[in-house]
Amino acid sequence: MEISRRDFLKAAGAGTAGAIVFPSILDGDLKALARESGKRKPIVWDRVFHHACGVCDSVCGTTVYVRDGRIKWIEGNPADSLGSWGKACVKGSSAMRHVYDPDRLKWPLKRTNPRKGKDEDPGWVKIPWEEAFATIAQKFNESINEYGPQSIVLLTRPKATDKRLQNALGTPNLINHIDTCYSSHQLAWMTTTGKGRPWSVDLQNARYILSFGWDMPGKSKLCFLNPFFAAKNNGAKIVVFDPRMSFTAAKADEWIPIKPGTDLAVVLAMINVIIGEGLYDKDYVEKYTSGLDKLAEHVRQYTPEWAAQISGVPAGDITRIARELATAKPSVIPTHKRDAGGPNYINSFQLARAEIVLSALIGSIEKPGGFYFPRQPKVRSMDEFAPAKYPEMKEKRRIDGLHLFPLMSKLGIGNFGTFAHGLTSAIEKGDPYPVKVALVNQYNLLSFPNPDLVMKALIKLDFMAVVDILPSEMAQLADILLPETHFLETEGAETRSYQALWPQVELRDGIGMLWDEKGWSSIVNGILEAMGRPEFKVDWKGLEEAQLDDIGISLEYLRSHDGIWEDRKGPTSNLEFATPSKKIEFYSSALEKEGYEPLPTWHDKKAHPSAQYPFHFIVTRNPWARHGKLGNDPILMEIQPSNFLHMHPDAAAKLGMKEGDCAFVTSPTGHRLKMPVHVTRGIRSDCVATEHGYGHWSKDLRFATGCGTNDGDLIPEMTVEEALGRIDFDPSMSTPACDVCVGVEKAYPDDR
Amino acid sequence: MQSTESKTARAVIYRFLSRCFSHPDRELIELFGSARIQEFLQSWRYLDLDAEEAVTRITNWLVQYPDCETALLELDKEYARLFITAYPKAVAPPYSSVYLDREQQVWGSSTAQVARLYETAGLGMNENFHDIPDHIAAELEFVSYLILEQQEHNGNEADKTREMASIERKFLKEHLCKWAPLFLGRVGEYSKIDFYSAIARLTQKFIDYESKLAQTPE
Repeated sequence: MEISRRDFLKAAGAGTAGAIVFPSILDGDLKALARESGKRKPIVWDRVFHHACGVCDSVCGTTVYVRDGRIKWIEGNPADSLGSWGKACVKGSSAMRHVYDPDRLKWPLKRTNPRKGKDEDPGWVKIPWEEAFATIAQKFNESINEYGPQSIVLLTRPKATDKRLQNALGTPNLINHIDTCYSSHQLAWMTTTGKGRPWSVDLQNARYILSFGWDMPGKSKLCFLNPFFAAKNNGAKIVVFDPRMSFTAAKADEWIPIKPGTDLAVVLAMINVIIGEGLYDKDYVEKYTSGLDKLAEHVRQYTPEWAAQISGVPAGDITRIARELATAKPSVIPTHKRDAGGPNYINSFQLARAEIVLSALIGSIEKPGGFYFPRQPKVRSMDEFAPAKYPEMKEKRRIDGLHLFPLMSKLGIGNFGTFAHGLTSAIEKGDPYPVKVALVNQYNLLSFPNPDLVMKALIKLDFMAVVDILPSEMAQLADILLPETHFLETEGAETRSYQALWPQVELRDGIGMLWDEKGWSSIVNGILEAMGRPEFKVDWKGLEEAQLDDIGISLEYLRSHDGIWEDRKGPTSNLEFATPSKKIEFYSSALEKEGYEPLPTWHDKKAHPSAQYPFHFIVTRNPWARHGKLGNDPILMEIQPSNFLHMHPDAAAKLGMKEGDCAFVTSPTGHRLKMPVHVTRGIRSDCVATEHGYGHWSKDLRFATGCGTNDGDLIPEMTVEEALGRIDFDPSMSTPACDVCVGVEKAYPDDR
Repeated sequence: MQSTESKTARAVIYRFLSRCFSHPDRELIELFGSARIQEFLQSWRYLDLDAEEAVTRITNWLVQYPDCETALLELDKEYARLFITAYPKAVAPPYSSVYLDREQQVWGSSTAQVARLYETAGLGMNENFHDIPDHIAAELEFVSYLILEQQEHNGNEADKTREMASIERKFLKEHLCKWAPLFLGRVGEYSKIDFYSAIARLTQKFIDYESKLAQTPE
């Protein structure tokens, strides 16, 4: 056929002078298109498939509708009885706009402009994957040879893939965001029950729900929202302590606007009342807990009257709610991540522990209507599937100082709060050792406290590779920028960890890749191969198959069973705990052993209002936001194009401000942010609040950039010394993410 | 009625411009120094159009660099800035749906229309292309293919020829000539280098010609 065309064209051109002689350009093969079916990428025009949503950790089972070759609709999969319950939230049902965002990273890119900063065009050029891997491998190997493996910093996830890479390299510096989310909760559970993350709450069977800042329904986490409303519809009483009227508080029977950072005093006083009045669950406490006598003596000092002075909550209310909590069975005190027991204040670890102690006193751990530890299927681990002899990790000191916190070290996570100082001193002074290169996977600069400081440090690295889906602020600092697949593009299975009341595996089918991206595990394998360490590569697909096989299922099984496998037997109580006494330890032997306070003890929050900074600062997230990740969705951004400064009318009036005015907000970080003011009675007059997820500056994000400001600019970073200074009562080294007070002044539209 | 030569000329121009909007490589730069550029210029002349000035601008731009590598780096940077990462703020995404569809995303309903036309014409996306069907390079290549197919079947498969001609007309009228000016306007305005601003203007000139051609009754 090609020959006949050529001859034809020759003939066609031969006749007239000045006509085309031989259009050789038409001679080559098609490049973008293809005739032969074997060379074509097939388009699936119409398809319905089951998926486990990847927007948040609720991993809701969804049903995805592809029409005309595009995802048109995402709804809940009714077969998922733990997450979606057949519903989809605003974020999950918007996920297709994340996939089809024209700003997405599409090809591996290399930076050509050596200067880095907010106003520097990186000068990207497209490169092949092989070149990207070779460059990263070369930089890693050079850094290891010259400065040791500790000179490599991994800002990635705490998952098996990341641990594999960390161990294969031998660097202690695998640092992730967990401390800014739930390290204080996790460590409190570990030191009290011996087990880690009990984020499975049998809310729908609870008769009484007591929240200290817990607002999961307000974060659209369907795995909590669904059972929360089921409980409400069943007539459960809901009481919320929160300085701000959260979504959950708005749905509660009682909203108590407590002074921020004082929840600990109230919980200690409730413990005092419940023990003092003998209201605790005697059978449960006797069988499954230890240390009641020591606790009783210790909390005698924490009377409701004492707590009332600290928290502003009347002593009568504290006593009444304590009695209600202990008598309305079953009761539960759900906690999760960024509530008051999250790493918001320097006393958050103590609060998290006091909440667990209170929960145990009312018998709400591993009991119907209470907390359960996640039930997950027993499957082989990555190391069992692909054993490897890792190099010895000679340097154990970490730049975030985590090694100085023995209990936290066991969790093997990291600290965003101390990262800036640690990195700066490693780069500038070689203290404790030089750090030269970094690899980042989907962690944005805006998730750090005082991100400008982090940016200044990262810019000084010799080399940085970033793996992401969208061109985030972090991506702007990369030397090599790699596109990661979106969760709606790939296929696989997901084991539930949040709200895993019974074991569940969900199918995650996908539409295939739109461009030339790779999954994170393929990228890790690619780097290891290029580094000359192929022995550490893992057949991740094979591992997943083996794990499904251990359960007795497969992807095909899931496809033919509505995308869900559940072992819906429970939950049955498992009241053997992993502490030395096998009981819930009110008096924690793990804490005592390491020299920490073994009983929950009152400590104040760090920042208090002053003349310069008269307002407590509260950070919240909108139900349609997932950190800063969905900010480039024009429809979601239309709901609220900027973060607000939420202020009580009295506070606003004092400053001469009204709804719609603008304010400057200042903090000890030295930043001064301009925010539109929202006047509301839903906040205490000594507090101001704003929403996280705004303030993007990456010039590659067309919709997110230019909308609002980033709360993190107002939150101070932390030194390791500072964290060590409170180590006796905060072994979790928590980032005091909201423990700051701010100043507010009226601004005019043209003010800068 | 178009002559065979004018059809060939159009196919040449489409194919050449498709190369210009694909990821730049050595071959692209060499095109401008090869015999193929003469084919390209001749094709324009054949249609009574002028591409000399634009091509001169491009070759002048190319020859300011000492070697192919240096020129290619500049092309690579500008290609990524304009069409991939769009610094600052989405300069010119090369996809029709961003301009034609309300949501301004990729894989919009206009993308589906195009991809269906490809299928009707017996084509699909090349698995090595790794991009969306309505990428400008794919669309330009598509028209060149349709024109050649009509010549291929000319005379002996009249139905097939008519079908290809009707796809071509529909595609040009209802799709390419609608969004290309919006896209090319942005490239012309924002490109920092002569190469892409000249290509954009040249393509616009050709699309104007094509638009008129598609409007004239058969």
